[in-house]
Amino acid sequence: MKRTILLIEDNEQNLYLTTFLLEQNGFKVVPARSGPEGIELAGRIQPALIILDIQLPQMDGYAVARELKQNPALKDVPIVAVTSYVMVGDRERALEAGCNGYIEKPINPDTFISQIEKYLKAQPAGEGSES
Amino acid sequence: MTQKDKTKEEFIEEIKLLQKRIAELEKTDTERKEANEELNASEEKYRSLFISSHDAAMILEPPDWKFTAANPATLEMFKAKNEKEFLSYEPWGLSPKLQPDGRDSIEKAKEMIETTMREGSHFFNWVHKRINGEEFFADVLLSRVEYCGKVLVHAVVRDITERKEIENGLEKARKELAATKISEDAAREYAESIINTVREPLIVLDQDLRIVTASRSFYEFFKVKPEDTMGQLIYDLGNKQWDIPKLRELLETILPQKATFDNYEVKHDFATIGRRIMLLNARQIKRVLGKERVILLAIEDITERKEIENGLEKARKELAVARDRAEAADRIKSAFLATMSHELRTPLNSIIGFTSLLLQGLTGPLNAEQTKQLRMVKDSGQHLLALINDVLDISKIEAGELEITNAPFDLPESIRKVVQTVTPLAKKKQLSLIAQIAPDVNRITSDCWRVEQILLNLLSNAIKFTEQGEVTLTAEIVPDTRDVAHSALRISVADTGLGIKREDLNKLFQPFRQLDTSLTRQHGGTGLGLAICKRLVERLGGTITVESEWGKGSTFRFTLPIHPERKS
Repeated sequence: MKRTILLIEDNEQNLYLTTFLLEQNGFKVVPARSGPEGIELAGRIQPALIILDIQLPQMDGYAVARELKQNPALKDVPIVAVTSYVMVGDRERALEAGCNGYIEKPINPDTFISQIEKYLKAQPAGEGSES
Repeated sequence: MTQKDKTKEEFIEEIKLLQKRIAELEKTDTERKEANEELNASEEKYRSLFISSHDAAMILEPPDWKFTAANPATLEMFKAKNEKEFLSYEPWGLSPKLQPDGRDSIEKAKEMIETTMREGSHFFNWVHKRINGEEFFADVLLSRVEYCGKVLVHAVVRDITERKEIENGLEKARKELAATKISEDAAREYAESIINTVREPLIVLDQDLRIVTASRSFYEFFKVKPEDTMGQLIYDLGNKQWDIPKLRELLETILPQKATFDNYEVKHDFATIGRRIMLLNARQIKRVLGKERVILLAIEDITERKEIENGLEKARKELAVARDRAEAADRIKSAFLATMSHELRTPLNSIIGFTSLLLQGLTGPLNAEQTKQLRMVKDSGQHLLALINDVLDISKIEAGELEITNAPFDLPESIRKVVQTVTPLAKKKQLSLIAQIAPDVNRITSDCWRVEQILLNLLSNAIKFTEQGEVTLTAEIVPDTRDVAHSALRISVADTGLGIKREDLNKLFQPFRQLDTSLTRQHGGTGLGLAICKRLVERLGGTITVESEWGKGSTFRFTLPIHPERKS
């Protein structure tokens, strides 16, 4: 069964790019174009991993990460921030909000999948991982 | 009170009264010559008056002016046992040979009697000699009297030794006072020399606030003349320029209560010297002699100091404003850079991402031309990204925001990693890439990532600007013989490229100064690489230099402190 990745991203081109790249590599991608939509979908689909943009309308990525991590059903789902926020302190802020990983944009399509795989391995999805 | 205490005038008055009585008696006497009884009675009266007088009284008779009578007071004065003994002396026999003026007593005594006979009476000072030889000063009053048809001289002598002593005492006191006065003058001179030596203007006022004296500096500073100052009421100085309410308050209200007051600030517009800010130090001093008080008023002109202080304060405020503005500008700049970086990355993500996908062939096969063109799109995207990163880097460095993480790391390993990264570039241009790492180069403590960034920059530059030959990296330790902790690492990157003209060497490390814009087109690069390298090296505590010969190649050399790990 294909692993599902929830992709929270508001920029259409980037959404398309990442979706294409992930699907080409055998993932199922569920897109969300805003934070609240992402949170709602996450509770419903229980993704294997969440890719989270930081600059989002209504609710920024940090707030989304915090809320996801507060949900006991979702707290073990790895979140990888993929963001254009690359200034000093941006990585720390993302990790502090609860993200497990941080990838700068622009992504490198040649290495992106292997970076994502790393977080999936580190935190194997599915039941029983905690017991 | 004894009779001796009576003044000379009183004495004369008394004698005159006596003489008047004598004259009256005489008159009575001649008027009633026939009445013998009365005569005898009056003679008796005179005699009793003569005898009972407290003053020494005696009668001298012509022609040889011998004493013919003396009262008991006379005997006591001259220490005569009885009248008989006294009368055995001639008048000059009871005097020293010479009088204080140096004249012979006999001669002078005769002259005094002659004067008395001529003028009726004569008063003079005399030095007498008692029978026991003791000399004394005396006031003598001689009077010519007619008695029982005879012309006599009546003498009254008063011992003034005590008065003389008092006079001498007074004289001595006067002399001492004069001496004191001299020392007071000396003291005044001393005080004035002090007053004149002090740099700050000083005035001395009496208790009526009139100027007693002032220091030279006072006259100079306030442009007043001593002759227009002395004795003047302070408020009246220089056409009442000194009528300053705050000064009045100090001198008339504060000082009488406190006696001393320091650092009393007074601002005033003087017609002669303009607006002045002064600090007044006032002292009220009681004079040693006498009850009067003097006031010392020292004036410190702090106008310039205040101006400087105000200027400083103004400058400080301006500086604070400027700093706030600069900080605000910095914040705006940082915010702008962050936004710019973010906004540029978002589209770049698509550009680089999609071209990469296309080049990976994920959407189907590409022909050679399509591949070539897509690669150009991707390279341009990468270049744009490098530019963004470099601009961010240099902004961070210049804003002092660049974070340096010092940790020990394996330098030879880092060198090998960077060399590996640039090897494809060198191979493409058929250049030999040589790395010479001295055996004593190993772990250093620095920022690994930044050191690699510097190495990468210098190596890619060298390869970029070299068309044939080689690029050589040399790493060695420059030992500090005195202190191992101060030994440094030196890394050189030498190429056999086109070199740099001498006049261009100093522009090399400035931002956006790739020397020839045509080269940019030819070689790529952001023009920020060396500027970043220089700033990074300096931030890591080292220095970077360049040597170059036009047409023969360049050598970039940088040093870093190695902070060797302490062996535990």
